[in-house]
Amino acid sequence: MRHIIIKTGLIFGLVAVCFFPIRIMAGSINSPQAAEASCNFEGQFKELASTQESNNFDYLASLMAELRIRKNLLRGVLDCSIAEAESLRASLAALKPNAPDMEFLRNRFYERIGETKDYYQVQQSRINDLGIQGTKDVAKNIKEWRLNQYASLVDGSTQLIIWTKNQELFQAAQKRFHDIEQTVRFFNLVDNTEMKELLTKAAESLYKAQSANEAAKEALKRFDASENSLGLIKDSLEALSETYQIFFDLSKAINPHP
Amino acid sequence: MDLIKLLQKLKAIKADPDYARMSRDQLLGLSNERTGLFRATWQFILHSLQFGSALALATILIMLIVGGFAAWKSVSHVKLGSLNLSSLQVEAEAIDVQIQLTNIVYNQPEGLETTQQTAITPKILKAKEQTKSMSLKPVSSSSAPTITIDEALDRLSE
Amino acid sequence: MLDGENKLIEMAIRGEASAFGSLYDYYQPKIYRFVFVKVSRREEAEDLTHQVFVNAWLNIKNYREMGFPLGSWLYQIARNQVIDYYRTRKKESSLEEMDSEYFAVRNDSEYAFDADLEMARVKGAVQKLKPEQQDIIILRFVEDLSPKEIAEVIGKSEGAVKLIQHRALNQLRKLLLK
Repeated sequence: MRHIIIKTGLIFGLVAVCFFPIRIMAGSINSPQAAEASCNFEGQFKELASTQESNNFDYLASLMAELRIRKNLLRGVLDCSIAEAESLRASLAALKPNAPDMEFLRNRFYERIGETKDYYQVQQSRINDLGIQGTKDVAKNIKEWRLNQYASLVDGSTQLIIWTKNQELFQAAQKRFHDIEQTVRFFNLVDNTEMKELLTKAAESLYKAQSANEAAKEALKRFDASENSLGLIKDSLEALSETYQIFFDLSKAINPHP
Repeated sequence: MDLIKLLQKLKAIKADPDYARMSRDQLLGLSNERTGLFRATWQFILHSLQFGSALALATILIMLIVGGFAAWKSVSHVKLGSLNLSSLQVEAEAIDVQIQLTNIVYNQPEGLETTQQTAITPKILKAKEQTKSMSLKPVSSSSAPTITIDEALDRLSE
Repeated sequence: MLDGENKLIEMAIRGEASAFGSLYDYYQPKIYRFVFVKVSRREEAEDLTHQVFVNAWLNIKNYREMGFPLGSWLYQIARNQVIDYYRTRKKESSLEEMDSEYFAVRNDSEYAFDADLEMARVKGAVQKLKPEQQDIIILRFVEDLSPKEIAEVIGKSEGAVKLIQHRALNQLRKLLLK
């Protein structure tokens, strides 16, 4: 339950990160603000609470008011859920997977999340005929469906989005290493002990990062527990970050007075 | 679907055949002596590590050799641009942002029930944006939902 | 139980490796499955399973026929290995401990998105149970042990096993069947 609550914000956060300038994502993506606009329930819950607490002597009118508010809330929640799913689909659609197997995985997540829209629409079609208890039962069922069915799709999609975005960083690092190597050779510094050590360290660090990246990919394809996949993704990024530290050291060693 | 049928899907779990073969060979290649088997267990683990290290050294050699050959071919194009600090900085910061994002997803805090969590997440990204002067599309905290979908469903089901 | 198991055990006790090999071939998939559902990570399941059989081979002379199959003894060893694993495991993954098998690429022709997602969902739900509930669910419905055999593995009465099983199934129904 907690991780679904968190994921809603993360999905909007991920879409926001889509606009990061280093070509991580391209193309038009639904504005997170638009999605969030339909998801403000505070006012309606306050109204519901007020209706339930009011000392209205007309009990039937009170019940009718409560039912109306509940139905509107349920419609709003379902609209918001559909927007959330669309937002996630948009993030998936904008990905540029660098391999057929990851493209396959992206497409399947995209399709499955599309199917969740059908589920929500079926629930929406039932709302008109519901009584108060009916609205409670439907809300409970949707909540449990999201926990048991939807959560795993969100988890997998989120991890895939993060992993795919990382591939540009790996390509940039690979190119950077190649360019630095050429520079070292150009200035005849290959036999310099410090250079040799730094280059070796950089190569080892980059290899470590790429190995973890590859392991993360396989963990994603196996649908490993998210702590495993994300742990590997984290390891790969941290190793990449260490590689860049070495690049900085190389830069200072080659050109101490930039 | 029936719960028992769902559980029985787990019967499909199988070990990797190469691992099973390696494990079996290690176990059976030895006598039933304590020291021999402990040595075998360590050998089993070390064998795996050695393969990784040999591969690392081979990769480094290949990279250095190929890099050297390419340098001969394109020596005129080599510039100090590869060491441009500001572009290195931008790339390094991009990695940091990804690490932050992964940490947010990875380290879901325990015990946090309410809407504060979803409001915090965009704030972290926004703070990152401000400190690093990057042009992330701002996610204002006022537009973040204060009651999440699942909290709303929870309250509606009561 | 394996056909001729008692004979194979006697031979293994005498130090005949090929006899233990036959026992390994029969029980390794079961022990691996049991361990893998509980720890989830393939590499650790492989190491733990290997250790189970190392311990069994080391201590085969101490095994005594107690009216239940060798498998129950192996499951007991496996349970203890997993308990020790959770006691000592580190949160961060360590790249240095990974071997080449970890990077083996899946055969895409066998790749079945929905089946794998479903299995991950079931595994995830089982892992949310208490350790004892996990053991009983896996041994009963994945490994097809009887309540009596399970009772001997986990050291409880048959009645207790049935009660824990009932609660575990109720919990799983809530997690999976919506």
